[in-house]
Amino acid sequence: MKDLGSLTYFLGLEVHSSSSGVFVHQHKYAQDLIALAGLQDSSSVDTPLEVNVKFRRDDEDLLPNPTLYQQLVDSLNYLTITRPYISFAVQQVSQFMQSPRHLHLVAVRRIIRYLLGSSSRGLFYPAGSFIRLVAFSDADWAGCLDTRRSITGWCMFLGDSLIS
Amino acid sequence: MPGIMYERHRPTLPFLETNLPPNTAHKIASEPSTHQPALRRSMRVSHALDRYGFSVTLSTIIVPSCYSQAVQHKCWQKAMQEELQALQDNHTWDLVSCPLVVKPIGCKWVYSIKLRSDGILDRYKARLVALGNRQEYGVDYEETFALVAKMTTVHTIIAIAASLGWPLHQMDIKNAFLHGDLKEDIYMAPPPSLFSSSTSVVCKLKWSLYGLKQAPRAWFDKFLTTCFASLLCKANMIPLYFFAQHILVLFSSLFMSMTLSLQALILY
Repeated sequence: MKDLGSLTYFLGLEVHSSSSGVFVHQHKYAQDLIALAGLQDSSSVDTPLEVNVKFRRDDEDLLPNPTLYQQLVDSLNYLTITRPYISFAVQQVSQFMQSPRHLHLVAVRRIIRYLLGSSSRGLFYPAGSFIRLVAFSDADWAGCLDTRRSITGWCMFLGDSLIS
Repeated sequence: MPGIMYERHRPTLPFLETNLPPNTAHKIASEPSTHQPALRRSMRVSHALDRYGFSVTLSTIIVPSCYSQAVQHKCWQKAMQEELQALQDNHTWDLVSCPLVVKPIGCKWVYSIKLRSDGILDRYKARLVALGNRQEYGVDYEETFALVAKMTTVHTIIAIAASLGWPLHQMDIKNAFLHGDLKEDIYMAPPPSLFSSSTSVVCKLKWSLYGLKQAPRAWFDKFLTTCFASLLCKANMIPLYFFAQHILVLFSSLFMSMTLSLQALILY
């Protein structure tokens, strides 16, 4: 058994403790992801998705090699641990893991360009907050154009800290 | 015209040949072997699934895939020697002669290279794994489900720790799966490097080994009972809130190829 001391790096999460609370982020993981996509020198964008764009299953041509797309989307999924606000964008692109098309890859690259400008953001758990469970959820109506199913989103707070 | 014929090869057992009456052996031999279809093998190039992480390409070092390749190199021999030494120190198995009704499961060496965070070679690693795919349900194993942490649990614990000002500690357990207790009697064929000539001696496992189907569960049971045993005796002496602080034990496991590295995060 090896004691690794106080918690600093755990499953890709970087943890910083201070008297005001705990800050958790995935800066290194985001940087690795940007390098994997080869977008280090691109310009950053302010939003992860374009406004009012709906994706369909059969837009444009199929990607010749879907592995990179799947790799990027899975990595983005892991990144939603400390960045729940990109969850919706990641959900949109992860619908097409089976047969990704060029338009979907463009959307993925936009999410990663958004991360480029904000790679050190994360979750803050304030000290001394009252432990009380609060949950919010919302759903749209037949939001998916292919299946006409609804998309649900939720968030849960324990005191002032986001947990799910 | 018959279609493609499939042929299933049975392992030739020495006792089977000797026990056969002479006339049947003659009959098999005298059968006309007119058509010998070639074995069809999958044309797919097998490679590791690299969807889930950033794979490191090691062009300079070749990781052997089987024992016969590895035994030719000094570095891998040393790694296997170390692993065998660790297993013997841990008293993982007893050497017994194989009971007649039991068919021992096989074992396999798995090799990997450990890199430091800056990409420099750290060490050669060899791990002996049991072939869990040869285990039979109800005989060699029963329940296999083991609990793993959800990310929500990690969030919750960090949130509670931050809110109440607890310090967070981290630890790593080496060879975690070798500590699990086995309820079943499992017989394993000895690793190829243990004996120079073929023997009828097999390894009866005392502790769980990597590759067994019940290994994660056995390890989790061990972890849980050890934690509770140490917590309960502390809780007798001190107020209850201390116990409540200790009971939040977060446990998570990471699958990385065949090697399982386990990290447990405990709140003090």
